[in-house]
Amino acid sequence: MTHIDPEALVASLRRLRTTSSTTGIVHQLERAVDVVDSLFGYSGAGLMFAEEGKDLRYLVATDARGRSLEDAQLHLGQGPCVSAYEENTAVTASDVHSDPRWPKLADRLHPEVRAVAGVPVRLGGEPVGTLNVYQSQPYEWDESDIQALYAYADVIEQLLTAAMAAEEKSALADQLQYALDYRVVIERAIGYLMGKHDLTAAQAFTGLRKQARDSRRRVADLAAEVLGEAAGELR
Amino acid sequence: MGEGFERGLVDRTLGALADVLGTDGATLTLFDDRDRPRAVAGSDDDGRRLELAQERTGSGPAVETLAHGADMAVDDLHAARPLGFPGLAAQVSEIHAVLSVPLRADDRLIGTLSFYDRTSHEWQPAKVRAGERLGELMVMVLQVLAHKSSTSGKS
Repeated sequence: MTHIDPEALVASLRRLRTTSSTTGIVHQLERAVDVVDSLFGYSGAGLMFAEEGKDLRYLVATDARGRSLEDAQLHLGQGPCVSAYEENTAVTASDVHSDPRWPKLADRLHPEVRAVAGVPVRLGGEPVGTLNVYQSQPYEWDESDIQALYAYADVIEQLLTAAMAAEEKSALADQLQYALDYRVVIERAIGYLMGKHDLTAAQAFTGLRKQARDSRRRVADLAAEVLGEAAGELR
Repeated sequence: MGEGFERGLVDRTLGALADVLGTDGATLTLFDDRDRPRAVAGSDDDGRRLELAQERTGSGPAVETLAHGADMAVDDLHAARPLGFPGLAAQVSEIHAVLSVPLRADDRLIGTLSFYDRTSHEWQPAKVRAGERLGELMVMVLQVLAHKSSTSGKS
């Protein structure tokens, strides 16, 4: 803290207040996962969060393969990301399809999810979720991979910390809960788009995310709108 | 939560961003509410000196980025002009390679984030792009801090 000019910081933040306000923590986390995806050159990334006193649930995934990774772990209650959360440490698998620690995982995974790494996302030292990345080919994770992921998880922690300071804790929790709850809506919207436009799940999900990002909206809100239109067509 | 909280958060974010990019440190220069560039933070003493020296002399990669709104990758500050900034290097002899990326909010230039190393090296295009993306995260954190209610009352 000795390297910061507090007066310059406050004066700069005052100027920044003339920019539009942020779009909410969930949208920011989606952007943060997009950045990690492009930054490290991995095949995909995702973020899982734990509901208070409950299991991990996925919040953000960059593509359908990443969703299969998170869905499979949620269904089985085990996997590298679940272990990273429970043990509060980095957990890696060079190939989840042959890893004896999670023998049932492969059956539920997209075939192109092979190497997986998860690190805990913490708040005040306590894990609140995990940052997960995967490779579509077997891959030996090295120490530099893990250190970079830990550093990135630290950036996400700062983002969460700032959001907690900016909003009532309950409002922040509501936003996260909304996103977690609306995963169901997203899944239904994907199913609808697949049927209507003859798309694969991956194409439908990617299209939905892109449209949401381009219009600076939450994927969940757009998915709800898509389902509303679908209901209108049936009337 | 007051200024101490904001300082701590910016400090930790800056350190984490440098770690993600694998550089020795990072610095932050932002325009203040009178549109003056201000050396806000450095992740260590050398970084702080680098920013303050640029603020004082009006010369250096961060200054160039603020002037042109574009990346500025300097492989070695100690190289002769136009490749380096020998006058600046004389004041921060430990620092060699510097990458400055513009920070934007609402398409408006708000400052620059710089990464530095104590050895000279070429900045690969992938690393420059990564620096730009990390800049987006810095802006996210700053925007949340700027709009948080406890700051809004301060003059």
